[in-house]
Amino acid sequence: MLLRDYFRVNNFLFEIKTDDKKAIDAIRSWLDEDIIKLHILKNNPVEQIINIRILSNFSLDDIPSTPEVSPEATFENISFYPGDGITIIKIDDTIIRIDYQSSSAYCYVSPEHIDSPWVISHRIFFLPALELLRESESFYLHAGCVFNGDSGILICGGSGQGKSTLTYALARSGFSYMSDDAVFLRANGRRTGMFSFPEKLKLDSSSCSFFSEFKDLKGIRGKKELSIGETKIEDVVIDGEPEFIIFPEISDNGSSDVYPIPDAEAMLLLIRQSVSLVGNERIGEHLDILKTLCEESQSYRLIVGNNFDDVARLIEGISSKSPA
Amino acid sequence: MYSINRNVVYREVDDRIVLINLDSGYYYSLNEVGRLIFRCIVDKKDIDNIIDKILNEYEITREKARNDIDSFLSELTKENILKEE
Repeated sequence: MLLRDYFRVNNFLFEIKTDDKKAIDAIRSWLDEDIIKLHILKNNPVEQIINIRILSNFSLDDIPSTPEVSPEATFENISFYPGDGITIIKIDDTIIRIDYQSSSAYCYVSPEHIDSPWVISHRIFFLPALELLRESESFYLHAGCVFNGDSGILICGGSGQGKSTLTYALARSGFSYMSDDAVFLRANGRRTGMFSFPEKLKLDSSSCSFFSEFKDLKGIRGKKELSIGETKIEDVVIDGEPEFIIFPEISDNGSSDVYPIPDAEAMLLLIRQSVSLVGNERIGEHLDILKTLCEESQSYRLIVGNNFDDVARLIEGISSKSPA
Repeated sequence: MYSINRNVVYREVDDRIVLINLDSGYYYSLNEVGRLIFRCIVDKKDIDNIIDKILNEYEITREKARNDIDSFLSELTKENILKEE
């Protein structure tokens, strides 16, 4: 018997079917229920149902065979085999078949992965979700985001560059919070719109040490997933328009600074955090949306020092000015 | 004559061109001069046309222009962004 679960993200309804409750538990514990509620309350019309089936009991005959060719792309232990209207993703012994036409993914999960909540949520659920959202013209950006009033401020950088720490520091100092790690960009008329993906905030031990409310978490291994209710975030935004893009960099000398960077430099940095090179059909649209984003936003390099009040003042200063 | 590898996608941003080679996954940014030369390749101009364009814009000798263009094009060819026909 298959268990079902549903949740809304912007104009999309995710339908998860699984034969193992552990899969639903893993995904639910990764998501922030309060942010999901905001997506439900927004009541955007459902434009697409995205079906993700996660199966742990299956016969070997059910599994689609991996093409007898080299993968088009590999990332860590993940191999991608794009085909005509489908993509096969192989993660160790787990096979995921994505069918773009029907907006669905079948995930045949190996026994070692079904017991790993992190692999279930971040790989077996999120990878096909990214692919299927892209097919619906919603393009992933690996970025945090806060708002100063109506002005969206994207905080873009690779893992370990301080996105989550900075996003949370700004959110607890009065900026509205959208996400610490993943937003989706969409053409919204002539502007770029964006919406949050309702993941929990994730802070590691060194990030926690900056904030008095998390001093008990200092020394934890890995990252602690925190729902909004466990933090000092007072206001959450789930969609809006970006006006500023910040690329954080940790300061050498402890002091903070911010300076503008040209659009082309910003675009290269965004590509690094955004473009998937698998399934190239939509890459032109993906580049178009990044180009529009760079042209209509102001981009800055932010040198992040020790004092987050100073950093918040710098961001407040640039985001209070109207973009040119 | 050079042409652009079909697995290269590019967009003009400001006075630059940002391009991605989908085969290698590498991405690049060309400066203003690079953009001028790249646009000539898009427009299927030959080397002499490209040199004329550069000489219209910059005060350098024809020989220097030819050397710089040759080395730029061979660099892009090495990166599989362009192919020589």
